[in-house]
This record gives sequence, structure tokens and C-alpha cells, in this order.
Amino acid sequence: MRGRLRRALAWASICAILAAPSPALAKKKAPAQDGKKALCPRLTIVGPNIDLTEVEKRLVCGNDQSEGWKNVPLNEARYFMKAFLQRRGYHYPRFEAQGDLLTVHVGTQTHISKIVGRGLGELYDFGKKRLIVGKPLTPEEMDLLKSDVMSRLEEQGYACPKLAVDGDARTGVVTVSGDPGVFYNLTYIQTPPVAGLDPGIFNRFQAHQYGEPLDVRLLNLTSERITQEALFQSAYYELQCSTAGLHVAQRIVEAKPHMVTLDFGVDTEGYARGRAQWRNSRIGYRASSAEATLFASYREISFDALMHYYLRPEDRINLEPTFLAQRSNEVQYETVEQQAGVAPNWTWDNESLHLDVQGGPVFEYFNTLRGLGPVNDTFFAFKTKMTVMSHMFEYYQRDPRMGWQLGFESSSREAGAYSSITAQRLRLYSQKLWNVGDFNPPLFVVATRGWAGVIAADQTQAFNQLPPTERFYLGGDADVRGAGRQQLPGDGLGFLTAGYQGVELRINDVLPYKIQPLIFGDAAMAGRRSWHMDRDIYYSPGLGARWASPFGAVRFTAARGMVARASPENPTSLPRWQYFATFGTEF
Amino acid sequence: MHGFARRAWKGLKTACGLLGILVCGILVAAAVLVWRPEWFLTPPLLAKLVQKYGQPYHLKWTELTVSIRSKSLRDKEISLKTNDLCFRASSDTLKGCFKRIDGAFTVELGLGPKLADLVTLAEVDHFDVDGRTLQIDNSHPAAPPQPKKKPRSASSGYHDLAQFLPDSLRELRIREMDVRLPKTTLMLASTTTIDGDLSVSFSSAQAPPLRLSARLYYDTPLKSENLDARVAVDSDLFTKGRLTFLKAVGRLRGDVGDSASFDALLSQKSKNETALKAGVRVVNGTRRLRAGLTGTATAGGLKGRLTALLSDSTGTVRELTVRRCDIDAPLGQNQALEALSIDCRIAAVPPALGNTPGRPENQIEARVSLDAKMKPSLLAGDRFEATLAASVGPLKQWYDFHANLTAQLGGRLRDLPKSLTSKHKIEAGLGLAKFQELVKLLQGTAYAIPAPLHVLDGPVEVTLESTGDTSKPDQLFTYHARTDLSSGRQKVAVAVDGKVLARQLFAPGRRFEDQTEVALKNVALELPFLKLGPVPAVTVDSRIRTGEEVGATPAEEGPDAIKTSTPTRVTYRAHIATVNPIVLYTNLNPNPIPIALDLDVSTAGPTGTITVQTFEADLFKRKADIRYVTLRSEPGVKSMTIDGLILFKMPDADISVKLLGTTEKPQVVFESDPPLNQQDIVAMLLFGKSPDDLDPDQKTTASNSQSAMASGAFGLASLYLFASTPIQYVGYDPATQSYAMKFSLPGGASLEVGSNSQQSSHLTLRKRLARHWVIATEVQRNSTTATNPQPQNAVTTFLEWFQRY
Repeated sequence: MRGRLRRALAWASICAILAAPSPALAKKKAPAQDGKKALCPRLTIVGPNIDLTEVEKRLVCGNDQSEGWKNVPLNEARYFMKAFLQRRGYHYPRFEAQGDLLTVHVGTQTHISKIVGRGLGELYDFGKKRLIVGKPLTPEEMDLLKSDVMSRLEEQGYACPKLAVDGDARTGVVTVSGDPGVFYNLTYIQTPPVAGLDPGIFNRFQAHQYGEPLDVRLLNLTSERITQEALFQSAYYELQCSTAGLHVAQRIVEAKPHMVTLDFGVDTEGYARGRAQWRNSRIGYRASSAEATLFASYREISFDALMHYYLRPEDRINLEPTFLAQRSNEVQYETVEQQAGVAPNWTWDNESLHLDVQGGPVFEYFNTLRGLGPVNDTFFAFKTKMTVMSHMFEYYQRDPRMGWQLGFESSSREAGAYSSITAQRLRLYSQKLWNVGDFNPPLFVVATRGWAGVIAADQTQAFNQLPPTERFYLGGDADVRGAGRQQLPGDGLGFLTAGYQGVELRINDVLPYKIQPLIFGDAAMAGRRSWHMDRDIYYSPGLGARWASPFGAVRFTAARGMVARASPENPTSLPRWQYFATFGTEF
Repeated sequence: MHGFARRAWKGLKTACGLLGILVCGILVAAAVLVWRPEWFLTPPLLAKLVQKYGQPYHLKWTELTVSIRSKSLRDKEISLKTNDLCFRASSDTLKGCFKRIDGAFTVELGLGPKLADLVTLAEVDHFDVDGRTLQIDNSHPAAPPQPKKKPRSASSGYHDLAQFLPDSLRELRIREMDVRLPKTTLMLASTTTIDGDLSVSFSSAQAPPLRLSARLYYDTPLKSENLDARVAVDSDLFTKGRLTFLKAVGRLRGDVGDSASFDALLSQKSKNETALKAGVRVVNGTRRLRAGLTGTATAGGLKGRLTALLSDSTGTVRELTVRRCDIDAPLGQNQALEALSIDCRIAAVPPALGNTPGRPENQIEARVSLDAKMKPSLLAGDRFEATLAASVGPLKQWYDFHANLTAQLGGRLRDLPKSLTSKHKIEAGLGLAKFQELVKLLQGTAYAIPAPLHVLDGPVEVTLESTGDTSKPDQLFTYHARTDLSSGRQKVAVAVDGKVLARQLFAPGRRFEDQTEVALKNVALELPFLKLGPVPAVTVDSRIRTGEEVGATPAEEGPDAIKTSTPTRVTYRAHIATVNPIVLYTNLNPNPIPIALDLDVSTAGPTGTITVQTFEADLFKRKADIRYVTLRSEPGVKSMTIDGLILFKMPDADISVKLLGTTEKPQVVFESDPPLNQQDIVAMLLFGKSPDDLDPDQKTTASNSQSAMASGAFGLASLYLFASTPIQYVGYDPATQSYAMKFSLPGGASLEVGSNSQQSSHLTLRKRLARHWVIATEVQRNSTTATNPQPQNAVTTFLEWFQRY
């Protein structure tokens, strides 16, 4: 029943996308019916409908409550009207005055036909600028273009450029001319003192590097890291240009240290989700933090508590004690587990990437309620995790368009070291995105992702004594999108070796309402033995759409899951169609 | 001795005999040369002479025959025949080729000291020129003018037409003449040429005997036009050898509608009187000119009358009429000019009044007179003194407009304009008892008085004066204007005093320097209706060019643009100051806003201060004492600096809000007594509480507001909006320095406004929905939890309720 509902929703979405008119078609649709509309007794507008604000209307029609502005002379009303129409892209209105009556022929709207840059050299490629040619030539569009050029220059070390934008209504050509000014390396940031906190705590969030060219994106990334930790209510950097040069100042807004949140969300895999969280982000002058989270969804109920204990304020090394109690209800298994561990955590940044390393012992209780796995097992494991990602990947994580990420994690158990089995679980994963053609904003975004994992252990023991959450499953929005969540293998036992690679092409701004069509292909292989892949190849071509809503990305995908070189003993349910609708999740 | 004397005598006789024979021979030869010159001046010899003396013109021909034939002892006939004659002046200013020239002339031999007296052209039997090309280049700088020869004295008087006829032409008879120049080029300037086909024909058997016709192509960078010109001249000079009348009729027509025609008749009415009657009609585009001149010349003097009508349906002056212009010039002994009197009455339809439908035409009538007298007793006898006077009005039908010009002129006729001296006095004025009359007059025109001034009424006076030596290159004009206008609570009482110094007024590089003092004595105006929210743009954004701008950018016209005139430089400096503060009434504030000005406006831009003086306003939901807000403009700086102080008396503290920075990026600094930090003061102003007592939303709003104000993200209008409206929420994005404000409006509605900015390239982390409620998007750092075992770039979104403590 649920599957049918999801399928119907997904098809309805795809049909709606395909049926919607494209922006290009929308541009060419017949112009609004020219009409004659009396704005007020003395002023008639001929042409497309122009909605004036009340203030604008009183300026051209007069204001009965003011003696001086009761009857605005026609030539003055005409000048005001010219200014108001200019703000709407109409630059050649025609006016006809007959006695005290003014008829305004609005004329045709001028659209931007071309952008020309002067004085900026290679710093801004106007040929790559999209979504402006074809728009009405208005001061507002020119301001937006100026702001975009300004931002691009500030990303390349030119923090104090001088720009001027002008447009030619006869040709629709907009010219951006300017002087990029002085090239700045980031040398100093004025940091405000924070009562009760060591100023060195800001080092742990720092994405920018001193001595390197200024890039406002890295400053903003630092700010986002600070606010994401809930350390401060608001944090940002101000660039102040003066005759003395550039001055960068950090601005923060302090917040009370304790925060309680109650969250509600939905998705097609976990259905309704609820979360309650308590957080203290400022423990001591080193601003250590602690948090406890209670999470509940159809698939999972968990309680998670962790702490980041910083040994020195300016250091990025911290101790991370954790406790997790969780009940999972997946298609293939149902489990209960508890974890307690402590791990040192270290982060590092240079001018282009961010490194996050952690590793430590974990003491764990695990019970398999349904499926194949240990029953009431307690064991000790040593877990590590390392992630490297480019700053651009992190910066655009909420609107992916460029950058890369590479990660490695391991979990080791040794028989005799409070464990009944010797097993090494290793996994490598990566992701990379390209903005094809470097358009601004991106037109084509190509993304690829993949992972490979292996459990080095005795095969029989691995299936009986390793928790099913440690084994590898395929299927779901995270990898093979042609299969249901963790539905591969079909017998629910999982794999000891698996590898996955997926590629996706997303096209921006070709459909209305910011809906982005996408096509993708996923392929995976897996094996029941360590370091061995079976001959079956799981693959799933598909298509879908992404809607960048103001609150997060909504994605719909439809994929055909298939198996090549399928062995007769493979219990998979493929081929089949699989549909996903997610909220928040990206590729 | 005798032998020597005899031999000497004999030698002397022999010498005398030889000399006598030689003299006789010369006399005989001269007589024969006069009697039969063709015996000596044979065609080959004449051709060589032409070749020799025509050297400067580089003459070439394929055939040249010059022959002389004696018709009688005095009358000799000279025949000239050439084929393919070409010539070129050394300076290259004149060159051409003629296919054929065939002429026959009769000259009469005479006696006299000059060559002109020896040989006189008596008759042109025929003269046919069949031209091929002719090019006259007049574009090079002309040679310095030769000293003028003493003008021929009109000893016999202007009343005798015959005296205008050169002696050499008095007895000249022309039978046939035909000159055709099919390809004639006249270069007037480097970019102006006239190409044409010219022909002149004369036949004594036809009437009128002299006809000129030309088809011309006139080409300049500004205009190209084909012209067809025809002139016919008739006179008894051609038939009877005496001049009693001369009549000329001509017309000129262009292929784009331009045309001109004239007719003139000069006739000898009686022995003592000559009459002239001439008329001209010109059509040039929208301009029309029709003029007539009649006059007589007698022994006593010259008298004439000129009438003219110039009209232009699209020009600023639609009609200019010279109704009557009488000229009287009595002559004294030897027909010398004794005095000159000119009296003209002129009428014009002034600008902007002529094209208003339904309004009777208002004409301005003027009188111009010149009264000049010669002072023959002084200097060389050509000294004169004159009084030139011109006056207009006062015109009751046009606001008492009046203008008077008087000029005392002097000089020597033979040395004009160098010797001209002039002292002038100009006075003009316009007075309006009721400003509303002007408002109504201009209503519906392009010069209509704008709101809110158009409701004012009262007197307006404008005067202009200038006195001085006209011959000086620099002239000074002074002007004054006074207004005392009022309507309801609006008032405009202004005094303007200024002077314009015109430097090199009569030279092409003239420039004007203006200095004006504007005293705003009593000004109170109503501002237009405003509403809390975005302020509409009431001016056209000059960044968008439409091609309709005045004085379109020369850069666009390219380097080859033609400069049609020398630009006149105007520099000005106006000092504008308020005697009493300007009072502005606005619907946004119950109390009027007093403003003092002290500005110097010049060509370089405005400098000085605009000060908003003390008044009370409701800001941040409480009474605020706006002590001052001074905007200061510096030379060459586009934006103005701000210095403002606003005081709030709160129960817990006295707060000072300082406005600093510039009009483009105003910054706000908060101070208090007792001292509080900036954020605390903003919290107190916005919500009346200290930050500790604020809920998280209010605290965010306070911090965002303080950040936006400190960084200058708010414009001046937004600042006012911010301060005068109950704030619900302020969001600020430091990445783009853009803000969003949500206000509570009367009636429970809310309004959200924000600054123009590019959408942030990354989504906001927390988007506020309501108090304590946000949409939170967060990146899952721990991407490989048990429930999410696969690595994924997971950005999760929650509807979140939050509370900080």
C-alpha cells in the first residue's frame, strides 16, 4: 500500500514536471493583451497591465488630503510615470495629453540582450553569466548584476572594487565597467573579546588562512561553522574599505549557552521524524560542548549523547565521549544496540580543504530481534574515521555544485579482546561535483559518488556474530536507487564486500518553479565473502527532479533496478521500478 | 679748321637725315600696325604670346587660333578659336578644360595713357564656350586682403543709374554669348563642395537677353541637396547701351522642398530719381521668410522701407515680423552721407506661447531705432555718431514684460568695425502680480509649474540690467528676482541676486561666469504622500540610456563626429542659504520638519550643509528629540557625509543615537548614560528591555539590527522606516550585506521589506517562521550512523521549536 502511494506520488510529480512549460517557452508566449485601463479619472494606461503602488498612484493621480499635491500637473505626472515605468523595464512610453487627461502608452518592454564588461579582465567571465539576458532591463536587475560581480571579485582577493553598471535601452546592452582595485591577502582580522571565553576558540572553526588571498566564501564558511555549533547566535565578517585599505572585522552575537529544540520532519524512508535535543555549547572558557538527542522515526528510535571536550582553547584536538542507545527497524532486520566510547578528534584546514580525523575504543551491546545477527552480544571495538573535503564542497553543501569529499572509516574487533570474533570493517567513500562550463549560476552539475567496503573476517562468523548494521546492504536513495532501502541482497543477510559508483547530471533553470531535472545511473557489485565480488552487477538508470525549496531540497527519483550477469542463486527481486521522494537529502 | 667744320656739318646732316628716315619709318610702321595689325600679329605669333604670358596657368590645347582683322582704322575684330584647352593655376586652386571656345570681339582703338584707354572692348559678336570641367578650390585660407582702393565717389549721385556702369561697358554691345560649363566643381571648404552644370546665355534678339541657369549638387556633412537655379536679367544696357532699368528675376529649388525666389527692379524714374523694388521668398524646412524692400535715391538722399516676415512652425520663436522699417539717409555735398535714421517696428510670438491650442496668440512688439549723424569736420570726414535704441513693452498682455536697450555708437565709416565705439544700457523686466496667472498660462505645456509649487499665488518680479562699453570683450549683466508666494500653509518667499560676466562675448570661445545669491526667506512646502514601506523611485535612473538624453554622449558619435559649433562654456556658483529654516510637512510625522541650507552650488558640484534642525518625532514607539541631522557635501564627492544626533529619554538611561557615515552608507552609533553596550541600547530602543530580558527572537532582531546599522546596510529611508515602525523581526545576511525587515502595520497587518541583493549562494541555516519557530536545515556530520550506514551528503530539514536559556 505504501509502495503504491509512493509510486503514484512520484509519477504524478514527474508528469507535472514534464507538463510544465519551460522558461524558454514562457518567454515566447504571447505578450499580455494590450488593454486600456483608467488608473484614475485623469490618467489612462494603454498597454500591458502596470500595477502601481499606492504611493506611486497618488504621485501621478494626486492626493486629495494635500493641497500641494491634490492636482499634480500633467507634465510632472508624466515624469513620475516615466520613472515608474523605467523601474518595470519600459523605457519608451508615449504620452498623449488632452486637456487635463493623460494617456500613457506603455510601449514595449526592453530586455537585456547582452552584458559587456570593461576593466575587469579575466576576473569575471560575462559570457558565463546566466539568467540575466532576456530579463527586463531595470535598475534592479542592474543592481543584482553589480552585486554578483562584486561577490565574484571578493572571492578572488579584490575586496574593494569600484564598479559601475549602465544599460542602453536601445540595444538592451548592459555594461559593467570598473576597477578591481588592490589585490588583498588576508593578514589580520579584528576579533571581538567574548566575556568568559578564550579568544583562541575561534581557531577551531577557521577555514580561511592568513597570508592567502582573501576569499569571502571562506570567511562565510567559518561563520557557518561557528553558528552551526550554536556557539554564538550569529557570527559574520565585515569587510570595510577605506582610503587606508581593507579592514576585516569579526562580528558575533552572543547567545545563552543552553538550547532546547524540538524538531519535526518527514521523508519517504523514515516517514515522520521527531527529535528533541538539549545542547550546552559553552562549557568553561574553552567552550567545550555537550549535547543529548532523542530521535524517533518509523525506522529508528535512539538516544544519543556526546561531548566535545577541548584540552586547550586554541587547539583543534578534543576528546569526544559518546553514548548511543538505539532501536532500528529496517526491512532486513530489527536490532537494539548501545554504544559507549571515547575518541580523540582532530581537525585541520588549509586554504583549500578540511580534514577531520577521529578514532577510539567503543564498548557495545547488541541484540538482534529480527534477522541474522548476534543475540545479546557485548563486545569491544576500535573505530576510526577520516574525512577530507574541499572548502567549496562544504560551502555549497546546501546547494551542491562543486568540490569533492573523500573519507575512510574502520571498525576493528579482535577475538580475545572482549570480542568473540576477529573482524576488520573497512570502507572508503568519495564524492565529486563539477559545474560543467563554469556557468554562473550553474547550468549543468555533474556529480559522481562511490564507496567500497570490505569486512575481513571468517565468513560464517561474520554472518552470525557481526551485527547486521555492520554488514553491507545495497539499495536506497543513498546508492542503488533502482532498489528499495537496503533490499540487496534479497535474503537480508548482507554482503561482506561491496562497491558502488553512481553518476548524476542535474540541469538547472530549464524548467519553471526552480525545478531541476536530473538523470543518473548507479552500478554496484558485492560479494558474500571477504575481498571477493560476485559476478552480479546491480545497475539502475533513472531520472528525477530536484526542487530547491527555501527550506531545503526536495528530490524525486524513478529508477529501473536491474541485474547483469545475474547468478541463478541470487535472491534479488530485480528488475523492478523504484521511486524515492526525499526532503533535505542531496545526491 | 673749315674742313673739320664742313665734315662735322656734313655728318650732322647725315645723322639728321638718318634719324628722320628712322622716325618716318617708325611712324609708317605704327600707322601700318594700326591700319593692318594682322600683318604683324599673325596667328602663330599670337599663339606664342598666349603661351608665354599664360605660363602661370600651364595652358595646353590641341588647337588655338587667334586672329585679328581690321574692320576700319579704329575697329579691329579679334577672333579666338580653341579646341581642348586646359589650364591649371600654379596654386591648384583653379583648373579646368574646355572642349571648344569660339569668340569674336570688336575692339576699338583710342588714345590715352593707359592700355585700357588704347584698346576698348566695343562689341561681343559672339562668344561660345563649350566647357568640359572646371574646378575651383576655395577651401584654402584666403590670401590677406589687399588694401582697399578708394571707393569710387558718387559725384554724380545715387539717383543716376548710369554712374554705376563701368566706363568700359558703356558702349559695349553684345550680340550672342553662350557659355556652358557642364562639370563645375566649387570646393568651399574641406567638407563642402558644390558640383554643378552651369550655363550662361545671352542673345540680344531675345527678351530677357541674359539667362543664367545651374543645376547644382550641394554636399556638406550635415546636408546634401540637389538645387536648380535660374536667373533672368533684363536691361536696356544690353540693347541700347545705356542703363535706365535693370530687372532680375530668379529662383532656386531644392529636391527636399527648400526653395528661394527673388525679383528686383532698379529703374531710373526721372533724371533725379532712381527707384528700387525688391522681394525675396525663402522656404527652408519649417522656416519661411518673406521680405520686401522699396526705396528711392534722389540727389537729396536715400529713403527705403523694409518689411519682412520670418516664421518657423517648430522653432521657439514661431513668428518674427518686421512690420515696417524705415530708412532715411540724407546726402550732403558731393553726395556724401550726412546722417542715417532707421526706425523699425518688430513683432514676435514668444516661446511656448505660440503653440498652445485654444489660446490667443500673444505677440511681443518692439521698436528698434537708429539715429546716426556724420561729423565731416572731424578726422577724415567719415566720423559718425549714432544712437541705437530698442524697446519692448511694457506689455500688459504679457506680465508687464519690458526691455529697453540704448547704445551710443561712434566711429569712422572707412574703418569699421575696428573704429566702432559703443556704450550700451540694457534693462529688462517681468512682473507678475499673480503667480497663478503664470501657472495657468504654462499649464499643459512642457514648462508647467510642478507640484506643490503650482498652487502658490502672489507676486513675482524678475529684472535684468547691463551697462557698459559694448566694444569691450567682457560684459557684465546683473539680475534680480523676488517672490512672495503662498497658499494655505505653503510659502515661498525667495530673493535672488546675481550677476553674469560674459567673457569674450563676441568671440567664438565666449564663456559665461555666473554668481548668484539665493536667500530663502520663508519657505514651507508639503511633501508628497508617503507610506511606510519601500520608497518609490521618482527620478529616472540615469544609468539607463534611451538615446533621448540632451546632448547625447559625444563618445558615442565616434571620432569623426562633426562639431557644428564651438561649445559655450558656462560656469556658475550659487550660494543658497535660508534666512528662516525651510519647513517641510509630511504625513509621516505630525510635526513639521525644519531644514536649514547653506549650500554653494557650482559647476564642480554642490558643497555645503543641509541641516535638519530640532524637532520632535515618534521613533521606536516613543518621543524622540531630533537635535540635528547635518548632511555635508564636499567638492567632488558624490555622497554626502552625515552627522546627526537623536536623543531619547528612557526610564533607565538617556540614549544618544549618532548618525555617521555617508548618505550611501549611513552608520548608526549608540551611546547612553549610564554607559551600555551597543546591542543593549538597540534592545532597549526596540523593545524597551535589556537583552537579558529579551526572548531569543527579540535578541536576534536586536543583534541583526545593530549589525545592519553598524555596517551601513540600511539606507537613510530604511533607517527612518526602521525607527518609525514597530519592528517584528530583522534578518541580516552579512555575506551579501542585505537585510529583511518585518514591520507591524496598523490594523494587524505586517509588511516585509528588504534591500536589493543577490540571493545568497548557500541556503540560510535557520529561516525564521515565527517566534521560537524556525525551519532548520543542517548538514549531518556523522554520516555513517547505524541507521544511515552509507555515506551520503545529507542535509536534513526540520521544523523546529527552540528555546535558549
